[in-house]
Amino acid sequence: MKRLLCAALLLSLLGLLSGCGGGQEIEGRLFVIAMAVDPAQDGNLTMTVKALSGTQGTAASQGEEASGDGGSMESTEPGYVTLSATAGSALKALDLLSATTPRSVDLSQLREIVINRTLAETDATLTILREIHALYEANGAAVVVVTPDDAGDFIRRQYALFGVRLSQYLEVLFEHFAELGTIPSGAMLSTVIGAMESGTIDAAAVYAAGNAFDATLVMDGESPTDRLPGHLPRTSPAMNEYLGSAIFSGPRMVGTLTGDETAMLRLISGRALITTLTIDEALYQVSTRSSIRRNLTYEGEQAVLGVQIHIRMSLVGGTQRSTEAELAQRLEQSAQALMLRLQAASCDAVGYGQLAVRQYPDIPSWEQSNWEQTYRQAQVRVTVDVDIQ
Amino acid sequence: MCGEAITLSAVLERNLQCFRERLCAPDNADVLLRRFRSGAFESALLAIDGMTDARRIDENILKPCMDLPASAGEEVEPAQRVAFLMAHAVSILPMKLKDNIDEILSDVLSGQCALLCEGCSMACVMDTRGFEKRAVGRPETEKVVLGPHESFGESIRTNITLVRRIVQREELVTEFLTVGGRMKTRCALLYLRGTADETLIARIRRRLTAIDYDFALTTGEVEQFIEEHPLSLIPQCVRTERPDRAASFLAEGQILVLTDGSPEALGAPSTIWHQLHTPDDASVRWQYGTFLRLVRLLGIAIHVLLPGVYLALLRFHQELFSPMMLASVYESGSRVPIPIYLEALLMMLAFNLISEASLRAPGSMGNALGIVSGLILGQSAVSADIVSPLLLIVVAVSGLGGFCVPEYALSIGLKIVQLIVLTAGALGGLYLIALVLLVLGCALCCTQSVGSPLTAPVTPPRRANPDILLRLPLRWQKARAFFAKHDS
Amino acid sequence: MPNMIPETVLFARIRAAYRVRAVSAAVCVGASVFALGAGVGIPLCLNAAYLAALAALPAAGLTALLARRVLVGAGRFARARHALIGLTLLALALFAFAATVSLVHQTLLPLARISFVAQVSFLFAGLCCATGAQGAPRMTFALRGVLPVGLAALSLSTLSFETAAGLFPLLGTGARNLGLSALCMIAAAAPALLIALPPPELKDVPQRERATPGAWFFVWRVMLGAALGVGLLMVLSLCSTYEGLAAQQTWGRRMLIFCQREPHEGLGETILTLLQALSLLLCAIHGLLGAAQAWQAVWPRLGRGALGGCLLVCALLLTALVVAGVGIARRVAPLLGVPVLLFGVLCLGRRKKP
Repeated sequence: MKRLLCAALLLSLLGLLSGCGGGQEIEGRLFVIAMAVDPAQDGNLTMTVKALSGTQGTAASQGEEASGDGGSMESTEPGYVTLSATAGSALKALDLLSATTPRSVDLSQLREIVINRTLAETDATLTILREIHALYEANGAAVVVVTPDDAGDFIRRQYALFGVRLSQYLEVLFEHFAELGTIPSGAMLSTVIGAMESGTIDAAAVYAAGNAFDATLVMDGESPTDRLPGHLPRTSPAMNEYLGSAIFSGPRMVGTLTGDETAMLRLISGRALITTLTIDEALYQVSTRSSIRRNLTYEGEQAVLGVQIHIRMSLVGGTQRSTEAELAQRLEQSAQALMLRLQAASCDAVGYGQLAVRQYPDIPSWEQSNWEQTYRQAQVRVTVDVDIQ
Repeated sequence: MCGEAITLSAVLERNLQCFRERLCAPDNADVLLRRFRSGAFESALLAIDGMTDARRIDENILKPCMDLPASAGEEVEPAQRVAFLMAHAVSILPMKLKDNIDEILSDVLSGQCALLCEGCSMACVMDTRGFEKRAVGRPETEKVVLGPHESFGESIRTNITLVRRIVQREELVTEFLTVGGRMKTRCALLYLRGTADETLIARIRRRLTAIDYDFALTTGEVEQFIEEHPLSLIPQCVRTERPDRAASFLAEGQILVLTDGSPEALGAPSTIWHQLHTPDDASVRWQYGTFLRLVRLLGIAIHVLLPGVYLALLRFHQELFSPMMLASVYESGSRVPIPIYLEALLMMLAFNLISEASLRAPGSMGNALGIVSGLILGQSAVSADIVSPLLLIVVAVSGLGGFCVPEYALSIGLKIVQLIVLTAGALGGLYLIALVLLVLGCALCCTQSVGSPLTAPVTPPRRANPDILLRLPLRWQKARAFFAKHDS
Repeated sequence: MPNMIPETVLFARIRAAYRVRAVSAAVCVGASVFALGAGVGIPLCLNAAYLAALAALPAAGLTALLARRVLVGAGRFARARHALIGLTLLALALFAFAATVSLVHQTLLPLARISFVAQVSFLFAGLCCATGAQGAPRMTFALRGVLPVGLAALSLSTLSFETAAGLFPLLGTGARNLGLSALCMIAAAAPALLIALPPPELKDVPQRERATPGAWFFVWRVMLGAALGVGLLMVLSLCSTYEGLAAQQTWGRRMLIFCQREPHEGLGETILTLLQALSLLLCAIHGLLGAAQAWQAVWPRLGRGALGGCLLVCALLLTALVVAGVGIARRVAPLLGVPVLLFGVLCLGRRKKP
């Protein structure tokens, strides 16, 4: 009986040879490394992707322009190919890409999604991101970038300035800027989607732009990173600059933060990786015993958004020109200004909503509480304490 | 006439005629039949040329018998004449009295000789084996760095001696059995009385005596007759060519089966863990033994899983590749004209062909074969874009892992498992690989070795020393194996 | 002369057989808690599904306790009880298959046809059953460390300090839905009925010699398994906001442990999903084997045909589910609580004297 059963089951296994497993040869896929979304005419979207071409050292050639809503293809650097398609939605555009290239689009290796600012300021962003994450299984760790430039051009001019592979270059790039603190920490695709859907926190994506290298090289005393990208006084083979944040209120972009403001945002949110601070040409080592506490209290009907920053640091280079009190005051002013800006833009990027929701037992009562209005009308209270050892 | 006789008669000539008929003498030139006078009566000696030690026969049997005075044995009853010679003339040890013609013939054919006397219906069978045999050499398949370097040979007596030199205990019992159909093979059961479970001894004995096979049996054939699950991919007995390892099996309560003509001992019952251990593990310190064992287990896991997992990742789970590696694989894969599964099968076939060919090739050619096939063919295949370099590396590393399997039979079983896992990875990704491993695991858990679960003591839980996966200190190992006698 | 097994050794082997059985029940309870929680609890309570799943702990413990009483011969209506166990375990197997198919189709093999996933899952489960009644339980016992430790370690590694926000609001969609979900989670105790069936290794050992371990022997293992299932549901809550949970429409996708805030897609997540699928499949296999054993107890003449019959019925129902939609299984699964309650009633009664 046992052998008969085994034989019957094994014979049934022959059905497996019908090839319904969904396996595909690797050369049948189009691995997209970077993706760009731009608005097009008549409410359409233009989707541009940079993908692995599977060849090394191919000569750059001019792509053929297709007519209408078809796709176009260019080779911009060895090993990669750039394709674009215009359609009514992101899904349709990706389907069009799959149809016009003899490969099925695979977003599992996606490293970057660049969205044009005009598009980001509409409600369409969340739909686009959700579609590509859920239906095309896009890599959840891909970084969401907003740019005021044409997003397609942005990724076209991007190439591996160091190393060989664009994907590796992008990974190292984002890691490096994240360590510096000049780009937001939660800018990954799944995190941004989660924040956009959530009523307790708002999203912050990386802000980037291309630099025409027309800014003066002379620094006029400002902090080098207290700027937006695209205007840094520098020269480089690479035009694209990543600096600062694009902040969202729900699914819609509502403003930008400079690099320094982004660093302050990370500090307040408790996501800072800062280990050194440069203030007035003096270099300070920040101790791990520093603490940042956020709290939400109520004084009557009004909410108070509080943050207590206690920084312990030691001077490791230069000369200390400011006292502890002065440093504390400066940091306090910066933090206060940032909080007020976020509040005015209805952007809870810090995550006070996550503290507010704890006071409600269930979802219906939380959703009835109208937290957005409470947040906008809340008082901001920042306390900074600096201890230089 | 002789065909009906079962036992000897008292008439010497009748007995000799019977033996001539049975042995096809005088056509069969190997048959030695010598009549002589021993004291007051006639005697005869039967032996096979080349199987016996002629000098021992001359000096210890013929000469003493023929030197007896003419009146020696006059008053001895005819039925006691053979016993008389055994007591007063023959100086061979061991010797037995037998009257069964088939048994006498079987003994003579194995190299012993038979002494018959006129008027006596018993024969004295003496061990005068003196055929040419290989000297005790070094193990071929169970080489170790530290530890003894002796191995079994083809002579069952020598093999038993090698074991007895290590296990010098009065409880060590050797039972001889003659197994097989028309062509009988001499086997020996070795066990430690009081340590081995009598039920298991009886079970093995019963299975051995039930073998009905007309050709000379080797250890491998004996194993196939006594195992319980002939369809299983995993062997259910452990084989060794090392006397020291065989001795350790005895100490654990296993029963050894030695076959005349085979340089291996079979240990049963056994577990899958026995087949993964090597003598090296015990002869070094526990830290080194544990490390070696973990490396070996890793090698075996790589051997079985790596090609299938690689294929699964390529076809179903590309997101698990790092972008650098994916780009490299993508580029190399784009140039290869055949599907990846076929490519992998071809590579593995080539690897197995090389392994087989290097085994069969004469020694001097073997090294050249490795260089030719490995370097030239492999390099050429990559340059011609027939295979991708990464797959070549995967198959090579997996093949190296296969050489970590201590037991040769198990290594072949695992090669088959490797192919199954490869196919599963190509058809259904990591999920199908997991399903295949689950089924194989369940089948393994149901497999028994002479009534003992093959996967015990891990599952089902049984008493055990901390020596299954990790080789912990010897002073912590105080329990005997679970299949040993319970109060031993 | 063959030696008799001493009493102490026999006792140890009997206890080992019960250990294997208890571990099998524990793994199945954990898997069914997780699958039911993801299938019913999350749509009802969103992020508070783990709270509702806590109801499965006492339910599973009590069912294990009552099942142990059956093992020692207590209660009435033995045949009816075994028939009930057989039906329940068969339904449990179907539920577990549906959960496995949904999870694998939505995560590991998204491009495969669902019929393919169902076919391979069922076929390989059938092969596991066909190897023998002892194969799958022993395999589960061998994995008793790897499965829970792997699941716990890999799922915890996906979390970070910020993920605590996913727990709030604590009561999810409200107390009413929480209560309803808790009632539904009683069905997750169904695998504990396996304990009422004697281990297959002991079928040659007379009843009077089977020294059945105490109730606590089974109860703590089963509750630990249930606790692991609750823990995994908690990790699911921590991984997403409640809005994120509400946005997931498919059962399989809901079971995927993927942290939105700290996405780490890679080998760890794939192995975690594989372990989840393996646990669910083991639950299905044990359900089939248990059902076959129970039906064999009801009709001894069935013999080995009981397993074939259970496989056939399961195959037909699974085919129907695949055609109609595997989501039906998760909606109907809470009804498994009914036979669990009925079983409790049938177990009441004095223990029969041997």
